[in-house]
Amino acid sequence: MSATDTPAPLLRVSGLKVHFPVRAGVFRRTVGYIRAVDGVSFEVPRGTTVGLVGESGSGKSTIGRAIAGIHRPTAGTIHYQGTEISGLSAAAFFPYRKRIQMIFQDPFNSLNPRMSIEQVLAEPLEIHFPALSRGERRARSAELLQRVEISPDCLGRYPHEFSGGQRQRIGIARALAMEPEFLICDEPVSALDVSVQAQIVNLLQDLQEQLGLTYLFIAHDLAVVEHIADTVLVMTNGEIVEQASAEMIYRDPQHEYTRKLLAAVPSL
Amino acid sequence: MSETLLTVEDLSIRFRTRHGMVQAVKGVNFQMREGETLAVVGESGSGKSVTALALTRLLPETCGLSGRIHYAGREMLDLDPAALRDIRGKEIAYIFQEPLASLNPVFTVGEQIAEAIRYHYPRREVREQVVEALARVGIREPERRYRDYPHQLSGGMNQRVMIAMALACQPRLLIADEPTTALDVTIQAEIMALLKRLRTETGMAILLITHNFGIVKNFADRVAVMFRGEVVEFGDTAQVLAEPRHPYTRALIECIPRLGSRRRRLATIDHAQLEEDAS
Repeated sequence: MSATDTPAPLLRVSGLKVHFPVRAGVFRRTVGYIRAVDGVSFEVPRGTTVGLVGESGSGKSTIGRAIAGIHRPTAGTIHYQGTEISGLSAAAFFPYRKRIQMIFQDPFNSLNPRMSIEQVLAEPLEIHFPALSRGERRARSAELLQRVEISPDCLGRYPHEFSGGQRQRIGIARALAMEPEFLICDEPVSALDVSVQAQIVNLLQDLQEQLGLTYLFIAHDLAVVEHIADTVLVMTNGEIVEQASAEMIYRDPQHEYTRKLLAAVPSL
Repeated sequence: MSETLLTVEDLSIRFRTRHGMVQAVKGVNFQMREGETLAVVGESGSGKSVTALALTRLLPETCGLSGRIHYAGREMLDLDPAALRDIRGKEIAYIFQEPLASLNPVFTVGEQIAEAIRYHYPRREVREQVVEALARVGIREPERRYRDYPHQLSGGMNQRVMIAMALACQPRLLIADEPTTALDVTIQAEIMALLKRLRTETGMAILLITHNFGIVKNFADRVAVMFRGEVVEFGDTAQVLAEPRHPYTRALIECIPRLGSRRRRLATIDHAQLEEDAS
């Protein structure tokens, strides 16, 4: 996995702040701010995996959401392939919605229970690839399922018929439908059994090799992040306190909080 | 050698479903000694939670239950509802995976712990007992937290409340069903440390249900590995980890990502192969 072939990284985040107003009283007056992300800078080189670790509430998901255009930054910039994408209008951001996709933690909540798997996969195709005919969409959906190692015979089934691991595969297939370059994986394996977790981690690594994807991998478990990532960012209270190669994070952690995270991993 | 607290013999559990009878647990055997920690390890669907619920007959009446569950001189499968009620909570208590799903959102945590112990304690002692229970699980300012609702507390704090509730009646056996699966690793380490401390203080036995061998290693004296409703391996934790005999046990141990094993492919469990071996 070559890290620095291209001079410009795929993603560059500089001085990113995301503050949420705290409102109180009858007039919902702003009485203060929650500094979810407070001045964060990092780069994600093309074709690599950057791991983002921290506890609940450390601001790691907020960063992912800001990059995906779900939260608007309070300050700072996000550059994607050299173009600033923070603060774009919905219309101007539209092409990036396709190139930047998200995978979420809870595969039970992230799939609409009333939509068949075919509908789940075809809906984004209808929006972002309007030229495709119905038959082509169906063929593409079947192909996507095969990519995540689920039989295409399952297209007519509904989410409740699948296990947690299979649903997470479907979530990944839906993200891949857009032919994205950059995947934000927000705790993709935290809700899964260790055995299923291993399958999903392996699948993500295979897909990266096959499709040349770039990942921002968000998790609280340093063992998983260290396994999959090239570079690791350690986050607490809205700030990045340590940033190093996965190997160095494990071999020579500098920050006290990183050491605490390492110590918390149940070891065999 | 301490005395045997629980003996499960040839336990089978069946459920009637739309697709016919499903045998969730098939002839399971294990024993627990007084004060011992036994881990039951297996994947989702291996029958570990159903086994735990069966111990105090918490399963629906319609399910088919056979075998023997011998607890401290009593046969659980023969007890009447009143006798079961005296054991549930007082002698055998549970904590579950999702603390927020187990707590009632419209009552304060103090009221909920009080409800759990009211049946077993005189009325004027209840509040005092609750505050003490909260303090014992490391909740600061327990008098104030008594009046908090579950949504005002974090996941880790709510799990502490669940533990306080489970331990309020000083049970001899605590059944912890994936108590840290929904929590961050740092909070997970805190909760496991808390359970260790409480185990030493009270001398209670713990039946820990988990899918993660990493947690088993530092916590359990013995381990039972469940696979498709059967106990496929049972023994001392150190022994099982050092020399797993069953291929499923080996697979479960190997699929955990280890620090310092960068980018190596994680082992996965080949169910088709395991089934072929079994038959």
